Amino acid sequence: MANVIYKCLTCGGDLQFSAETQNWTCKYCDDVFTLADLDAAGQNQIDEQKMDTHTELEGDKSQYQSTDGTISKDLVQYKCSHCGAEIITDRATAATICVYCSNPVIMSEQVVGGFSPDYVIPFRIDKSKVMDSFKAFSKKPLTPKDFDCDAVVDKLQGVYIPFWLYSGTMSGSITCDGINKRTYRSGDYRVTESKHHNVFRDGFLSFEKVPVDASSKTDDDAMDSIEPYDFGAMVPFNIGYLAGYLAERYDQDQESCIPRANDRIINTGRDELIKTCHYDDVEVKQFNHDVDIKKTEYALMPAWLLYTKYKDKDYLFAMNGQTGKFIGNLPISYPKLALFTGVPSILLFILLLFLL
Amino acid sequence: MFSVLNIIYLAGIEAMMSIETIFMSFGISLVVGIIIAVSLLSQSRTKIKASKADKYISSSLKLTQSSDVYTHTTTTKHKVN
Repeated sequence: MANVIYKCLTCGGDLQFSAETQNWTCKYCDDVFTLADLDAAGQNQIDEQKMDTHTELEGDKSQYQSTDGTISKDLVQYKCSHCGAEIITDRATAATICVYCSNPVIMSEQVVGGFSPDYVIPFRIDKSKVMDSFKAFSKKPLTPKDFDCDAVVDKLQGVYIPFWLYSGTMSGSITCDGINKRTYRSGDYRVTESKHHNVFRDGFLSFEKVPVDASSKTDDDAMDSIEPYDFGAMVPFNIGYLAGYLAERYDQDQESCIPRANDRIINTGRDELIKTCHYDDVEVKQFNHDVDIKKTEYALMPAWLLYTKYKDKDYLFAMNGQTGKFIGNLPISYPKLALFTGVPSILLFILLLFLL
Repeated sequence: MFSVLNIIYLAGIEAMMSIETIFMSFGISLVVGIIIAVSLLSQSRTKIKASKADKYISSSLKLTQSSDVYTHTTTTKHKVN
């Protein structure tokens, strides 16, 4: 079998993971199955010996276009196990939807061996709720009138994004000038007295599961912005959770993503050390730090992504598929901005002319 | 634009307003305009690079060394009126 397809235990139809029920639902007979049901039927097992792999595309890859809407310059070809159609997709795609038969297809070679995630957070929010959220999100005062969210909302895709989760400790020390100020009046003068202290702090703190997205195709800032995920709902990885969604495997290894985690850890460590300096003003003179990453885990996190264009400019909107947090930079209507800021300012100016 | 300012200026003169009043009014309304613009823009721009990891602290900071040594005092004076 080339790729994994989940079959209904009743009618043989295709199963999809339902964010609403947290179970697997048959598209045809509406029967619902639990993870235990699928495990008992042996559907969650991948036979690595029988697993087919992708086929390299011949010729100029730039002449091909992915059939599942993924954006990439590194395309490969799979065969849909359901209808036999050729699926052209990115090399790092781990799950997709066949555009010909609309069935979920999981590229099992992308989630085994070194690519096998430790954990997954299953989707909690289904597409209909995301569409409503996006419509509400896009109704901001500065959104252009001709930005038609109804026309683009259908492009929303549920994608499992690969993340590295770093755990470790940061030890560090700061030397700073701690200043306590006292102001009083003396005759015709206002006097400010500043008492300076040489302050030294040395300590350590631990971090757990600092997430860094491990896909070069996803916008790092967007993935940062949809945090935090509730890791309490994280479960050991099971391939069945990918059924019905797109999924990526990592294409940036854990070593290359460490600097992004380190930057965040160091900034927070510095802040925590400064918080222990109880002065009116703290001027840091020296900061030394050492981050020790003790454990790295690999997890897939749910996100709803919408790539769209408006006036030839690309826009990405993303929603945390677990918590529903929606982010993105909407297009700005500059005439509206001028109206909403100019009119109150001019009215205030005229009012002040007569009041002052 | 020039003519509008001219009219406001003349109106100000007529109402016995000083140049200072006009500049002060302009300054305040400009600041209010900027605050409104920043507030509106921040509603439309929610993609921000994460720079902190404070949500992922598993055990809080433990200090191994701490010292505070008084060094000196500085004094500044400003004449009031």
